[in-house]
Amino acid sequence: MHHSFKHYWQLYLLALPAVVLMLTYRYLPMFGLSLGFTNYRVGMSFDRVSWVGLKWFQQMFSNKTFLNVLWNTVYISMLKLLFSFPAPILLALLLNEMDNQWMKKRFQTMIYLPHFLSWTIVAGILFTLFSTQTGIVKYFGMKESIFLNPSAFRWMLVFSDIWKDAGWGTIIYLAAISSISPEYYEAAMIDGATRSQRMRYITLPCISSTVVVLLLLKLGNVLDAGFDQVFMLSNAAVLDSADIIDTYVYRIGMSQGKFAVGTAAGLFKSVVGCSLVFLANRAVKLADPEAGIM
Amino acid sequence: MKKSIFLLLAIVMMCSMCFTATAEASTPITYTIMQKYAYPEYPADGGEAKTVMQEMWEKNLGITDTDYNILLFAGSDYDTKLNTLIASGDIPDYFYCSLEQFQTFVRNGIIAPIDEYVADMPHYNALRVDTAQQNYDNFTYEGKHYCFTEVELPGELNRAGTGGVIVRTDWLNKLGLAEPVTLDDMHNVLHAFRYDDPDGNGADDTYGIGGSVVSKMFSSVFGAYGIYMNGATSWMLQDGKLVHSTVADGVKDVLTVLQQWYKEDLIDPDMFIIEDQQAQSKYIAGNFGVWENTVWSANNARVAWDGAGDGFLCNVVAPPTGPEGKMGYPVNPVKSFGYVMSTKCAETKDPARLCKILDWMLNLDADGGFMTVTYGLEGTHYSYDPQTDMITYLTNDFSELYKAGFSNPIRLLPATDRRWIAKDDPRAIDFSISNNLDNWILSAFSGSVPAMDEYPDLFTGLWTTYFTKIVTGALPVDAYDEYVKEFYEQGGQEMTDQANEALAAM
Repeated sequence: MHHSFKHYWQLYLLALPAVVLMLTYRYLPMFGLSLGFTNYRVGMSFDRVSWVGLKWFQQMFSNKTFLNVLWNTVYISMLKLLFSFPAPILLALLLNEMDNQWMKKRFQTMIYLPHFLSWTIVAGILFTLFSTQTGIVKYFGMKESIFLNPSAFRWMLVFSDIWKDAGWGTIIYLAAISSISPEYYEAAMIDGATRSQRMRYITLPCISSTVVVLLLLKLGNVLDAGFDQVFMLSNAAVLDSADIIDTYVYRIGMSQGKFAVGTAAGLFKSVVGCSLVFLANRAVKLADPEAGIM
Repeated sequence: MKKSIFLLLAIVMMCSMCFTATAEASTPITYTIMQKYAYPEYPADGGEAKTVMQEMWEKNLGITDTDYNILLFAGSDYDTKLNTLIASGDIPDYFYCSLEQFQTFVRNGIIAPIDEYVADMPHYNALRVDTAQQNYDNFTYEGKHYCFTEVELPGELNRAGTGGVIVRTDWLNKLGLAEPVTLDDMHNVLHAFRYDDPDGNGADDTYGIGGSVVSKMFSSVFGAYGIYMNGATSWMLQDGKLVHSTVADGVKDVLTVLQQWYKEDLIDPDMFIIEDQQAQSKYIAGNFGVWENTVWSANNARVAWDGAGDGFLCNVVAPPTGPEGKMGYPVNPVKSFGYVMSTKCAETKDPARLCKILDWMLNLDADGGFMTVTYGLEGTHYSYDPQTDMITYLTNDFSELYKAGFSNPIRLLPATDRRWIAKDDPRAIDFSISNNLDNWILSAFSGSVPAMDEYPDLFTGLWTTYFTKIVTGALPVDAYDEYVKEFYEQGGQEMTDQANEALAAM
């Protein structure tokens, strides 16, 4: 190790700022997780803070609201995993088949652009588009606002997420596809394989390791469900089907000053996410020892 | 030699002590003040007003080396930001505080009692009479007062009623309808606004009633059934006991009426989604004809239409009467908010100086700050006629005042004064309705109990969700019974018991 450090000290130096950043903003704040086991409320002096153990966790799991929030989070995340995760893969496969490079580049630029819009702006666009009085949906005879319909609202979350980020997600898959040797395709074409067969037997298997890694990372964030999106788009009519752990933590912790309860909910979410990553990685390694991230 | 050195050292030490004493006497202080307003025009450096303020403090109060920094946040952003600042130890020196949070702040030692400072505030004390005194006493904890509460100058126009039912009177005239008096009249008006093309453009593009998630959600309809509904601190007396308005008798009837209105497509569905600014724009654009908001919102619409030459007009009307002859628009003369001084400020930042400035801001004399703080510079922003005791704004609208750093952002201890509204101003007519005591419905209890802070989700979460779903038809009216059950199970019983104890103790 000493030899390695001596030889590559410039690389270690290059990595040092990122490591310090990671330690400062990801590891050091973990000491704050202890708040989830105390009775701390905003402004409380530390001499009045006392240990309450698992009180907030017990309260959360006996609280109908939190259980509903947990269910919403899992449901919306699963919907996004089923539809939003494959969308950039499909888009990348289709982009890869485009022969006209000029069109391909311009199309890529167009689909990247929504990623740079914040959810605040996208929410404004969606409110305007889907207004039953002034929006474009009025001309299609839509009488009921999609924002007041709990089941339609969840689908709107999924499709707006796909619209916003699927294009950006194609970057990494296109990079993986571009690393596939063209000889495979040439050999397949000589053997008479069609486009779909080349996609199925060459492209997909070659990018599978990338897909697996991204899937594992996605599973680690399975309880995320998209705070910004839900926070901007939800309202009282759909709150019980759209409220997720992050918006619950924000409301209870930040707006109501119950930092301990908010921390406990956030800690629960992180533990579940981390456990899922390990479990999923284990499962992947059982199928293919070379795959996975650890 | 040694003696000389010691002598020199002694002289240097004595000089530094003197210098330190002098420096402490004129220690610069910057007060950080947090207000619950959204004025994007307000300049970050305080604008011209800051220079004027500092000059006037020096001239009239002998106060120098004093600065202020105003932080402006509106809506739920305010609570989030305040909680973050408090948690990080960066507590503002002086800030807006709601009744729900007040007791928590006192128990956690965040805010300081103000009785000793108020004793030396003659102008504040002179205005703190009647309802203003009740406001002040509302923020008492264990016998000590903690909040500087709003006061009002004498005069009917300065009363607490600022809101009401606003109706497009040009639409009424066009359709040959009279101002609605009863709830049935209101229904007919809404129906006509929805289906009889009141704007005459041949398009099916108008709703009867609209609003926003933050506006008074049909408070006048609740009033028609004798129910005070005005946010989380809404209480009714039933059989001599306090009940929260959301679980009071008659609420189910109101929900039935509103659900029927929604079924008939009289209510703009966007009102459950959009914010106040968007609702204002929709009202100005003529998307709906009736809403519940303040006199100021009605005037904003008139100003926007002014010069368009189309004869668009709106006015505040009396709230409609219900089937049993009851009526009322909720008014809370006893305020549910005030301004508090942090303990940090009380211990380290010369609170007496801050209170002297606050009191000066209520001084109506020539050397006082009231006129400058509220109206800006005489001759530039306003003119005053002592004969009629009337103030005339010389600016086109309030944003010019905010840009210069005057008015609301620096009204740290507000006093209601509407001497700038002329008798023939439409706002005066609106106020004659909104400030008519016969049109008021009052809350049975305006105090604070710990459970209000413990269970804030009862109103903003539970009630709002059930209300929205029942009115929009997603749930039947009978689902209201489930709400009542959940309300009491999720902390409502505790809150009701504490409120009744507090009322009994008064």
